[in-house]
Amino acid sequence: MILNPAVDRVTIATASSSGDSDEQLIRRYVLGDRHAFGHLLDRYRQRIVTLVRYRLGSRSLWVEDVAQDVFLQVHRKARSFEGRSAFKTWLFGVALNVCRDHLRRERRAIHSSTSGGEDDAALAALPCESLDPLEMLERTERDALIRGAIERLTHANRIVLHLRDWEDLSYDEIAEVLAVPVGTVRSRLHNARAKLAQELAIGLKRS
Amino acid sequence: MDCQSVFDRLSADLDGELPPAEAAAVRRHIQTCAECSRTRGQLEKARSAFRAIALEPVGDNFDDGIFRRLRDGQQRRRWLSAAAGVAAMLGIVLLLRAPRPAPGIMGGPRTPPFAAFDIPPGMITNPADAAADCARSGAVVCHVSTPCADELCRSATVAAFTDIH
Repeated sequence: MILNPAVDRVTIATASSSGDSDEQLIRRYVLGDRHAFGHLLDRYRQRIVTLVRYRLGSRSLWVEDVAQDVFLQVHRKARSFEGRSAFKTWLFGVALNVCRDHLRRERRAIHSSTSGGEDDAALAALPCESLDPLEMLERTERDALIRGAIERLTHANRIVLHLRDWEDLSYDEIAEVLAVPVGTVRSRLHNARAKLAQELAIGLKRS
Repeated sequence: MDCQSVFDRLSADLDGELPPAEAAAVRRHIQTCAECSRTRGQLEKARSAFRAIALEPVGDNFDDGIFRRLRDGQQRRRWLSAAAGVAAMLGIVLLLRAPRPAPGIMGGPRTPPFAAFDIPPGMITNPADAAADCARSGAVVCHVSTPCADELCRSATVAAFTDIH
């Protein structure tokens, strides 16, 4: 299911039936409340898959496997969450570490075949039941255009845009997730947006 | 503030991440510079475009995969701990059934054949004779104290222990 972005950003935080904050949920999970993990999964499933896809590239066959690894890692490391930063900052850090480990393993497996991925257009063409066909087509085309432009960015640019424009993380929080200075976040984000604007313009001309 | 300085700050300004004084300077510049104003508009469109796309779809079996892997991991841990328990039990049984260590070695009880040769160094005048006596006694291991070379300390000092066999 593709969530409607117009409402996702509002509803996603309350998608879970639990009214607890992320931090409360992870603490409840540590204390043995299994449902708390399900609530966190509901809140972050698509966001983590998207972040992993931006990191690995949309052609990677391993996106969902690696995203599952992220949640397994959350299960294993839940006790190490100390609450010094927001849960989602911690979670995105875990996710990027899992991606990095996966990419290292992939690079080491020289003899394995290179991953061929799903087609962006095919992904974007997945049906969304809540929209009428015309609206769905327009959205599909628009999404394909934007996704194509995003795909041509570097993974570092895609991730910084995701963390800022989808996750609404502050520059300080992004710096914490990426382990880089705030100044780097600022310039990287600026370059990413400028590059995206350029790629969108090229995509529009082509279409 | 010149165009380059403003350009570097446009994105941060869009995000409300500039200090108030810098943000005010950027806004003042944009009001008078068409080029920077146009660039700001492009960056804003890029931001809107990124925000507008739908999140990636997730396979129906995503959650099942996580819970299956969690269960598999727990099962593997249970098997490993069971195997470790069995190994520990076997180790204990083998230890209990193993022959006793040689007397006097590793704290084992001293039995007469070895005790006969566990003589204070001062009492052994000839280590070779003591070794021969030990061998005849059938002791598993003989430790014979070698007397100190110094005649004066012979009765008090252990110079070395020698494995005869």
